[in-house]
Amino acid sequence: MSTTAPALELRSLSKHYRKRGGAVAALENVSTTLEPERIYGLLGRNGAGKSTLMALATAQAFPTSGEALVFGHAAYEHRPTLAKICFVKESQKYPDDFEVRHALHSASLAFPHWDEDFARSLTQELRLPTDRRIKKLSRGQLSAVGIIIGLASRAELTFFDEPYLGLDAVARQVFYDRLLEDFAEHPRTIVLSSHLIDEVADVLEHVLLLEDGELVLDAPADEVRGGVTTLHGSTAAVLEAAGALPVLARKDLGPVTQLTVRGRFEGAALAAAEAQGIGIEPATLQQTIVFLTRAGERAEL
Amino acid sequence: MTSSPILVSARVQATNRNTFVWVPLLVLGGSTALTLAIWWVVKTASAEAQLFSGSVQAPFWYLLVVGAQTVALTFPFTQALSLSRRDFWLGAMLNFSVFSLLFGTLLWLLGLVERATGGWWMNGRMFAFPLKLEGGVNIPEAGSPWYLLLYALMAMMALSVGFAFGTVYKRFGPAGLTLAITGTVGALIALLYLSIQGDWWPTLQAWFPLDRFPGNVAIITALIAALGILVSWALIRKVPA
Repeated sequence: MSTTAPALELRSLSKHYRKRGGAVAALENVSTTLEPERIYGLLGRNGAGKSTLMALATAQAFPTSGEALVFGHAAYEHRPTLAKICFVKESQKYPDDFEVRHALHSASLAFPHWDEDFARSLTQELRLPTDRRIKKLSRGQLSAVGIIIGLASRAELTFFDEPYLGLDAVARQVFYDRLLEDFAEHPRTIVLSSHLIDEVADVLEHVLLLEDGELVLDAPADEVRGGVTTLHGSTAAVLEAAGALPVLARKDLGPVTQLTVRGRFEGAALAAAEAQGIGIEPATLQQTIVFLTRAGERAEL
Repeated sequence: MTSSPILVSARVQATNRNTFVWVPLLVLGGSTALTLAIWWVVKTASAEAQLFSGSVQAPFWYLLVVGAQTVALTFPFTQALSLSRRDFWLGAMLNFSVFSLLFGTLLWLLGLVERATGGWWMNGRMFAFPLKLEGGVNIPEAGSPWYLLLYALMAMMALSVGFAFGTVYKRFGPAGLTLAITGTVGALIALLYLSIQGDWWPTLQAWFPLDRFPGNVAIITALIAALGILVSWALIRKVPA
């Protein structure tokens, strides 16, 4: 058994906001454990509670109940724990009239493992104008500031909040490549929040899915990926191949049926189905999650 | 990491030289130049005119804004840099203190220039309090060391009062800020009303005798600054980023 504490441990974490007509739950009783040196995806629709979860974990906000432990200790006002964390919000505020270079210089002072050369090469690759005022940056350039601080800080627990927002295709690829390269050299715990699941799917080792403030999925990405399969072929053959697997969606077009089931087709099952002339297509992570959450919504009705 | 988080916090907050160097100098330089220009016009029209100006107050209004923005904008950024709330607060206080001391020194030195040049060659009074009070009230001449203390304390007061209201805003939102400002103004009016109704003036004069004028102003300024500092400290520990 490993003796190191989890990178992040959430214990019945809840956050309620007072609104007219009662309290609104931004996060409801979330418990999970994030192991060190892995890449996590914090997924969910807009307003699902992703930002709230990250703000609570990093003590930037205060929970209504429950607690969040970073490497075994609450981050709130605890210098050694805070020094292990980096969380630049998607809607991060910067001091008035700050230029990009001011923000990067500040980060270089604050983060103990800051790599200045890495920051400089990322700035060049992402084509970020360092003498431009942050107020004047485009959405993509603003995301780039957060990406550079997040990567170059090399913090033991790094959160990227919607890092792809506004980035062009080249910049997305730069982030993806540099993240994986640097992670290989300097393993650490990384949490990527995103509502665009396919954008981050390839990097993720583990998936956390939030729905209306509740953690509805907490599983290794490989287990989720391919957990939903679409079968396509003659109705009788498709139904036979699907057997007792739970059906998530069915579309009939004359003698042909397209059936989406919860389950995977591998080895003998895959060979047998293909021999019957059935097209087998594992769902992407995003499709899987969409099917699973819709199934959840139906089950609630 | 080589330096303490408090120093890191102070350096982050002073990273942009505009905040504590260029803009205060610009405001001070601008208001001074404008005053001198107006004086020159007045002097041309009437050679005997007595020239007083309160233009030196201009930078202090700017400092009120700096104090508020430190919480509204700089604080969330220090949280992204994983600095503790305590280190943010201590860094801010360190910067405010150093700035106030230097700014007080600058204004005092300008007062010395004012005296040496015979009131900017026009017998004007700008870097001393532009007051004329009756009966033995001791208002120091421009360049008096009193002004180093007074202006430094006034800078600290402006910064910490702005800071305190900024903290109220971050903690309780726009409604809380409005309530705090209205409440403060309301309390001051009520105090004024009570002091007139209750005939408190003799008592107040006994507490703060006019013949100890600069010292009293220093004490009152320091008390208001201390109140701002206390309020901000009491609130900052529970302010979300």
